[in-house]
Amino acid sequence: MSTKTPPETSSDAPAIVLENVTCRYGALEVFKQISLGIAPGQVTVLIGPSGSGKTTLLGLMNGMVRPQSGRVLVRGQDLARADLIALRRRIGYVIQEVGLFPHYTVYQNIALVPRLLKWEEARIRNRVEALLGLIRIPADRLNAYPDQLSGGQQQRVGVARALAADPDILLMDEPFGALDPITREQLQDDFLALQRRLHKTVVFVTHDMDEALKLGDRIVLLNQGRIVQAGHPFQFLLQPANDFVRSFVGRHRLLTAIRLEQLQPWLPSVQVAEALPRQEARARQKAPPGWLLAPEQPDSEPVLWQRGRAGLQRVQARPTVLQATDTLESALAVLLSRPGSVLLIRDEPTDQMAAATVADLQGALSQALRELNPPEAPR
Amino acid sequence: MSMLGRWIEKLLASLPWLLAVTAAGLLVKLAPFLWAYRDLALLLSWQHLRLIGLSMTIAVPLGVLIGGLTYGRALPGALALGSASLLMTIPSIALFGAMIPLLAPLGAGVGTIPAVLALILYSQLPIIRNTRTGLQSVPAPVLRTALALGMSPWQVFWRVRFPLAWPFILSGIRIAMVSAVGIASVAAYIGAGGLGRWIFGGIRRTYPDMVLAGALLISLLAVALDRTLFTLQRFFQRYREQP
Ligand SMILES: Nc1ncnc2c1ncn2[C@@H]1O[C@H](COP(=O)(O)OP(=O)(O)OP(=O)(O)O)[C@@H](O)[C@H]1O
Ligand SMILES: [Mg+2]
Repeated sequence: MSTKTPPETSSDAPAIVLENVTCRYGALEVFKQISLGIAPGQVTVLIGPSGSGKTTLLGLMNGMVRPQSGRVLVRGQDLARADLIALRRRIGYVIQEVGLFPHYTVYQNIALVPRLLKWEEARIRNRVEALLGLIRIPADRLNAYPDQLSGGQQQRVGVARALAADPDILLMDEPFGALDPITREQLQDDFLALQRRLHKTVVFVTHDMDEALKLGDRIVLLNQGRIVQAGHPFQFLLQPANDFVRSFVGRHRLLTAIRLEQLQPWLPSVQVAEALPRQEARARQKAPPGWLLAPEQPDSEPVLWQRGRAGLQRVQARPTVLQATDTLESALAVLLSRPGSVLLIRDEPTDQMAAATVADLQGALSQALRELNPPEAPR
Repeated sequence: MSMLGRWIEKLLASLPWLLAVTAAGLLVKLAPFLWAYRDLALLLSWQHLRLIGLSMTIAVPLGVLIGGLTYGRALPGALALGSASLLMTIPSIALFGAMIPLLAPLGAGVGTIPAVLALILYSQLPIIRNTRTGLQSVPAPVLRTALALGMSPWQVFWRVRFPLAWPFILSGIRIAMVSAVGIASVAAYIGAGGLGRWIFGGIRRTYPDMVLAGALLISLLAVALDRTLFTLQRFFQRYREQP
């Protein structure tokens, strides 16, 4: 197998493609002529009732399940002609039952794939230690056996093992399904934080809609071997394709989504210029409309100004600043508490700020929905 | 029922102690005999152990191989287990006796060879059965992730399935070995030596001390082997909870 990415796969090309895939177990037809693309660098959540084929779909993506007809492409490569063993070493895999080797220590479990890839031992040790920090397992647990760890710790080690050789694709089959609610929420939060840094292509199976809304950049709803709807979480809430989606999602879920969704994707494009002295601010009055965060006097508290045709207008002293990783709910709480108030959202990695009003958030939401693909019709 | 049940339970719990006390008593009683014939005792014990060692050298790889080849297949598995069980139902003295005419044409009707052969046949059931059970009992999710993370089927077998089955296999070997210690006593009957000679000889001569000394040494051998292998098994199982 060639380990090079074929030239025609640009970074926006789907990482995984299923083309007209039909899949049977004996007489049972799980999928008939199903097609699906998995976007790179995103979390795609597969959700659906039990037996709808989620695990089978995941298995098709690393060749554990072979289709009767149709093609599966991973990184542009047809699995029918791929060296599956080499391919799987470059795809992380985590399941609900964890599947840690009970006769291997934590270290040996995490080192599994690097050892298969014949890394040098020093490099492996570095990697394992780095991962241990990433998944927040104390280093003194390295020589413990899996049955000496808690369920949550086992699953963290399972995630570390999947990430060990730094694969760009991660397949996760209900990884947090067996954990108690508090541990599950912790692992979800850690997973999100990790994903923000690593930008893996993740295919995540769950049957928990709240989990799907929280983790998914895109949700694919399966029922009886068909894709009922695929799209952004909000699209599921605001534009359900049919009654099945409506009943599966449930009405109260919009609030769940607002509670969980981060501000990041909804940042208004208008940036805030920051901390200019007032004189300079006045000199810039001719600049295009926008926001300005500047003190009235040098050394006084920052004030938010709006730059418009009529010149610079004072809007609000000491505006609330949220992080892009805060939730839509916290933003709405600030905005709805005072009519006409404006919120500043800071994006930590780029250190840029955006100002948002209720109308901005609403606009961003509806624009995003318009830009998203129309719901995929059931076939 | 609970009174009786508890009473039986107590009796069972104290059984190892009762046995130990009995063995110690026997040892005291038989001390003069064992001292007088100490050289012979050592020789016969050595012969006995040699029979076990020789037969297990072949029986273990053979049984593990048969178990390993049949664990995933129902029909060959049933065949292997069925024939091994059938062998077990033959009384040992009959099997040893049958060896004489069977191997006589090869010039090996009596002595070590037929005895070892019979012991090999008797050991197959526990070894094959435990090997199969062990290999089958490895959790499916462990095997699935092993494959999904890019291990070849060969690697999955040797690095995951077999090591996880090993404690089961070892316990099968332990059962086979300990029962072989007892069965090997009958080998004296076809001239293969061993502690059985004292038992047969003692019976013929109505010499109870000789019979008892043979039985005692055989029991001690069995217990010693059992404990050694059990410790080994515990060592391999250290990462698992005890059942
Ligand atoms: N190895 C197999 N052999 C035969 N049938 C299978 C096999 N694996 C799955 N199936 C069947 O295929 C269908 C889809 O199974 P799959 O495991 O993909 O569903 P799922 O969506 O993952 O369900 P769950 O939420 O319960 O995990 C089910 O009807 C199942 O019984
Ligand atoms: Mg499943």
